[in-house]
Amino acid sequence: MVEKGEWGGTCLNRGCIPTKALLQEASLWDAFNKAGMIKDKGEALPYFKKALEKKKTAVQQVVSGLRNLLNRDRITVIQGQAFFFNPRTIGVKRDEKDVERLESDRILIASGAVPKEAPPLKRDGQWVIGSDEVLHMEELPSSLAIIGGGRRGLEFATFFNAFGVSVTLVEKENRILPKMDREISIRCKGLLAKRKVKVLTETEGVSTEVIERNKSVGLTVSQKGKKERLEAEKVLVVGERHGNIDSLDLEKASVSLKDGFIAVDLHMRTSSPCIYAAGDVVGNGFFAHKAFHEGKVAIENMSGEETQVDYRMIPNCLYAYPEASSIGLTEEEAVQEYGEVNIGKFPFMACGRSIAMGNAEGMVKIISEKKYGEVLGVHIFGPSATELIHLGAMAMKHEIGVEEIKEMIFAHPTFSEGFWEAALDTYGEAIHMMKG
Amino acid sequence: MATTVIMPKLGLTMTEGTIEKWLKQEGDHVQKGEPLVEIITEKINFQYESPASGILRKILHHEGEVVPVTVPIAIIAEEGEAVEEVEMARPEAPAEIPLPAAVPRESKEPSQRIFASPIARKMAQEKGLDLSSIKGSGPTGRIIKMDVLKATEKGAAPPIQRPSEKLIPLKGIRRIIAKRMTESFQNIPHFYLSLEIDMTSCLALYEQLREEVERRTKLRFTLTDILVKVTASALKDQPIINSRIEGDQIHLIEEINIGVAIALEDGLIVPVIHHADQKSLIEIASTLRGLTQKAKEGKLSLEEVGGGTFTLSNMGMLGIDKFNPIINPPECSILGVGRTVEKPVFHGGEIKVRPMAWFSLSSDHRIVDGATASLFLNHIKKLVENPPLLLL
Repeated sequence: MVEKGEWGGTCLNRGCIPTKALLQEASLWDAFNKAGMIKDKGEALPYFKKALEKKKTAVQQVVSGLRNLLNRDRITVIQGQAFFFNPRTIGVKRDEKDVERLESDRILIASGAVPKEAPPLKRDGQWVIGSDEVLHMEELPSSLAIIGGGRRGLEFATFFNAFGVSVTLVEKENRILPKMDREISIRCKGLLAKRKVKVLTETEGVSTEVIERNKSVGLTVSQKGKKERLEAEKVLVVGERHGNIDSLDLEKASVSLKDGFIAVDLHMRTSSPCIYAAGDVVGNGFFAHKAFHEGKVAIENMSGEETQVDYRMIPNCLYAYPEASSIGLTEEEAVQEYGEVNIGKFPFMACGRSIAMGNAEGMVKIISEKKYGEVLGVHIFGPSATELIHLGAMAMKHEIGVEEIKEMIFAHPTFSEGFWEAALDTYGEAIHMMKG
Repeated sequence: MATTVIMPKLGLTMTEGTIEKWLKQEGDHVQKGEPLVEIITEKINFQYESPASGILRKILHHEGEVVPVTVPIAIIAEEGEAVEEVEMARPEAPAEIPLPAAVPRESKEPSQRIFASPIARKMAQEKGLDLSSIKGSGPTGRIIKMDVLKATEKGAAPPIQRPSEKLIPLKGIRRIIAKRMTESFQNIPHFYLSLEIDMTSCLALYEQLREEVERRTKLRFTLTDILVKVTASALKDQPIINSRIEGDQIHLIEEINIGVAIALEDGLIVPVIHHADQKSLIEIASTLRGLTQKAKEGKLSLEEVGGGTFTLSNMGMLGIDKFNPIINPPECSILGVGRTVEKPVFHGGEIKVRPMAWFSLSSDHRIVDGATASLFLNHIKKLVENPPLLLL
């Protein structure tokens, strides 16, 4: 295995793990704040700094855990920049003079993705920053404009909002979270409004200028052609990403690309017979669990098995505060594919556990096929959404229909009950809900 | 006084019975002697008559349940009479119930569990596909939706395409036959021998005796009666055919009890002529007529259908030339006799027209081989062609 940077890639160092550590702190801070236990808003900064420390510790812990796993499995690891000589040979460059040649019958590319330039905006690393820099901020800005209302934009928006930062979220599509079920977008937007996060949809960033005297950035945006000027202490651009392929010399290995990512089939085969690719470098969503699964499928196919990735079974998770998650088809996609479908829905407002915990925003929605009750999609917004989604994942993967879910016994009071009640609601049988 | 109705022990070898049908329901009045419940045993189905008069207060075992003999199956009591205590006092199956025969019975095939996803099950049911015919491609071979869809594409006989049909439940005697014949055909390595036998002398004997036998018995005399006599005599000569296999042992049975297959409207039953070798032709004829009559009326007792050591199946009257019958377990062999047809045959250097009939023997190859069985079948031929030998 060849790695040029830190072991664990984006997930451990710049993605899942550090952001989840921060999110936990943000939600705790928010809980204390809401409970009236924070008298002085100035306490936010030291708490934020402590959060950063905790994040660092968490990252160190998982990275060292990863090293132990590599040792356990006696995996030879080579530090350096890999590139192809030909489809069977790679070079590993440690510095200009030191290049090691490696030959292999099968090669797996898992080099990840990097943020794309987001013209016309330009990141400068100080005023206009990207998602890597934001994790290394030392101070809390008083205001933050986030360009990109997708998953990561939302995560940062809710995180900084919890610490009292005034946040503006700019999304070019007509809704935030454009890849998730419309209902989640709507509910999420409502919640952001309640928390005084300003959301601008169908809006694009046009230009930035540093306003030295205010120590802030002037951000010009265009909403359907109408220009507006905003001002924020920092502008965070969490735009699109592209495959981390620039230094791989892929053309020498005959590996083709598609839209800035390595093109693969469902077996994770690239255009070059012995070369496979998996993870962020092939695009199609940026999730560690998606990458694990693609990696597994790639290895299986490399060893002669014929398996393939079923992208419909990959949970899509939003680790914002609150969380959201979905798997399978959105309501719109389901209607398009199946015509009529059944919808079972349960709001957490009616869930005993949510009420007891003062965390009663959101809902569970189960979309099922009418004839056999097959679960086609599950969409959850609210507490523990990224945990609850696996009930849907299991039902979908193993073809457990809504009627079978109805027959299960769910512990009371739990958030999971929301999933059960949504299944019951499919047939108008939800217990803790007024019939609409 | 409440009466507990128990699973009757209808024969020496009966250890359990299946409740086929309750002829009275809870709350019905029932007279002593009135048919109460239909019970199936290994061999027959039987209408059990109520042992008492009163109200059928409680049915303890329902239709389809297999109940050991002497275990209570119902309570008959007067209206208002407390039956709870009777029920509470339900004795366990008493110790004298004979243990299952030394040979462990074929354990009931555990219904093969089919692993299939709930959606695949529903889909297969709706499309009328048999899951056991579908190969699963899911984890550890589990049948998933895709497998059912593929099977549907292949057109694994969806019912929509089937011609209209009427369903007949497999029950009663039909079920017994189905079960026993399947067991026999699957477990006994059958082999078949056939011979064509000249019936001239046998028919002559039949004609000679007919008037006298019918005068004495006031009953019909048939060729089958002579064939029973012939078979009994041949079995005495070849005792290995009169045997059964149990575990690692072949049991030679001293009694010669010949079952005769009788066609019924809804199936087939094989009443047994016990000690056929010790019976005269007159006794055989009257026994067989009696059994036939009872069979048609459904009144055969378990003893009358049990204990057979060999079976004779005569399909001559049904116009069949030749057939290979399936062995009636636990017996070793079965003889199938076809119709008598006049045929040109060489006889003493000349072509003559003779009445001929095919005799076919099906035997259990675990017990006998071709040579032994052919000795037996040839002995039958010898006796049929020379009936005076029966006098020896």
